[in-house]
Amino acid sequence: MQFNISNNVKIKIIQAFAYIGALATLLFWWNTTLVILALLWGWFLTGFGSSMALHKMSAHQSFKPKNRVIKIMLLFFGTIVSMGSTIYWCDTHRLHHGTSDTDKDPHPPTGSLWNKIKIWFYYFAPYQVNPMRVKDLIADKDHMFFHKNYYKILIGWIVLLGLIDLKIAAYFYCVSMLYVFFGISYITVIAHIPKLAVKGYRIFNSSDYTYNSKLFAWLLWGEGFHNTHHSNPRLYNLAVLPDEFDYSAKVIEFIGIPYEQKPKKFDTIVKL
Amino acid sequence: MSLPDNILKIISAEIKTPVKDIDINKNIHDLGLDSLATVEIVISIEEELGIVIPDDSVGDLQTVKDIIDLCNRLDT
Repeated sequence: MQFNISNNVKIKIIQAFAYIGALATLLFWWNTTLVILALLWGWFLTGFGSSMALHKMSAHQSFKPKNRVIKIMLLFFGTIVSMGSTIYWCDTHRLHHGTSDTDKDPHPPTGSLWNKIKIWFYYFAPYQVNPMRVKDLIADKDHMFFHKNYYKILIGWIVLLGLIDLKIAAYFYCVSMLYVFFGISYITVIAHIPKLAVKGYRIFNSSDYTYNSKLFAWLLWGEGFHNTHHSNPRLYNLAVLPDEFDYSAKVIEFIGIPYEQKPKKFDTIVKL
Repeated sequence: MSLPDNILKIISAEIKTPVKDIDINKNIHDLGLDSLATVEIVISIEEELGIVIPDDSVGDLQTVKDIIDLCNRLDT
């Protein structure tokens, strides 16, 4: 079963729109206050959309939302971060976890600089999909609703912002997406290349090249503890050392019912 | 209602085509079912008819007849 490329092209066009829109806004429409607010909104969406909705709730089922309203809100945030529906994104992500940094990885940040740049922009070849990998999400009516109406919701959101004010759409969609996309790209590419680590370290001897970074854990809602995540994919709280802190875990405890926190026994701390 | 009729009803709802117009020997992709919709049908069969379809069988389902035959085998 081959992935439907048209879906991929549509999301790429929306992402390109966000990048180009952000560039144009910052070059020709600069407003310091709006830049700060847009980046704060991007930070919020990175947490609630990318990290909690797409990653921890949907892909790894690290927690269940406490009620349906919270679930719908998370699915909405997961939609407007423009990475594809939970069903599309989780299929890729679950395959990635089983094949990380190998030639079967759907987005391996290996090889040439050009390949790394392509992966940075989340551009990778269509791959053999297996919808059975996301059967749990297909069986969930809320996930399917957001999947089937993905582009209506996402484009509707952008249009709504534009109708309020074009500047609002330019900043609170395009510029905010820079933060969201940076977060995803950092995790997909740089968190898998130890030689680019800034004070990085590994505590689990995983078969891939992932490492932890406290700096990026602060910027990206705990997702910077990427070596811990790849070794313990279902953990909702990725801080396992006494001096690590994952603030997203506090939010998850407030809005959801976390999966049992049972980290593997870690190995030696290896500073990079 | 027989098992094949129930399955056809589920497929009919998914592809929005009357049961009488479904050619059971046609490839399911030609009926407008992509791989995701096929899994949706599998889930509906499991939930509505109580038949558990093994994950590794789903990739082998090429026609509506394949689905009916598999369910008949699993139901006995």
